[in-house]
Amino acid sequence: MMFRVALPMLWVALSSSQAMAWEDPIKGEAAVYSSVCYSVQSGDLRGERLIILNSHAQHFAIYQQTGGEFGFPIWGKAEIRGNHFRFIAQNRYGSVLEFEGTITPDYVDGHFANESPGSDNTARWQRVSADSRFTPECPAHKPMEKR
Amino acid sequence: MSWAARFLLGAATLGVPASQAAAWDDPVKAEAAFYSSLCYSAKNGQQGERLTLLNSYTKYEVVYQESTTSMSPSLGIAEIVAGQISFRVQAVAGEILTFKGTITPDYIIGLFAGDSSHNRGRAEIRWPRVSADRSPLAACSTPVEQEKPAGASGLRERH
Repeated sequence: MMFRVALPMLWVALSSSQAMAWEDPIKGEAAVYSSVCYSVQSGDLRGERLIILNSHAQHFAIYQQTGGEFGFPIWGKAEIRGNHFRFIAQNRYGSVLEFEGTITPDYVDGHFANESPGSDNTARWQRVSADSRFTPECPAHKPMEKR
Repeated sequence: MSWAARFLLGAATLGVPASQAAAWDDPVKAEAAFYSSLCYSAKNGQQGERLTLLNSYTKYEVVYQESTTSMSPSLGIAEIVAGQISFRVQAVAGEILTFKGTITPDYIIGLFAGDSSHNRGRAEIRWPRVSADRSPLAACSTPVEQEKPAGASGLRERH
């Protein structure tokens, strides 16, 4: 009898703690997700960086590409529902960049909409510490990403 | 290879003179830095301003947010030389804001140029450095000037 009561209670407790953990993967002021790496061969920075600013009633995504060095960032409102993540931003040329995917405390994974046919529209950024400044070396085959 | 060696190698490859790269002034020493006066008041909700500096290795981009405009970001480039910071951003209302001040690893102190309403009567603006992991916001301890809408004079109300 005791198990019959205790087990459902344990399940509810675990489920709710997991649900709470998924409510806001950012939790603090901000989170930095990055795929930026440094090419020893060319001296270039490659990859992308995504900073999510928690503004308590709203999240904002600051998105930055590299093309040898960091480009000027663009921003858009971000939606985080559970582990579903989406942001829409406008680049300097006026074209709209729309990203949709999954967010966890450790990574953001998903794809860009409205990419040209044949291009790789997927992206994965690992959570990095905002307080450090370590840029890993690029794998030899990592291509330049252009959006 | 150390980061400094990597950076100098990268800078040289990118065409940045090594002397310029070595002179790169980085009081922040982080991927991103957050300087913020944000606090929480039960009456008025989130109050204050936040300045985010994005370290792009040879420069900083700046994201300025203020509670009076729902934290909508304004982006610009920050110049940091010998402990002095300046940046220009276009505020949400369209006004160009120019800020000049002092930056340390712990705080930014300065003012917006001219008679900017964003100074809100403050003799100086002080944004302490905060951790990205900070949560929740501290309670607003005093009726902060930021609670007044842009354009209101904090000095007048204090007298």
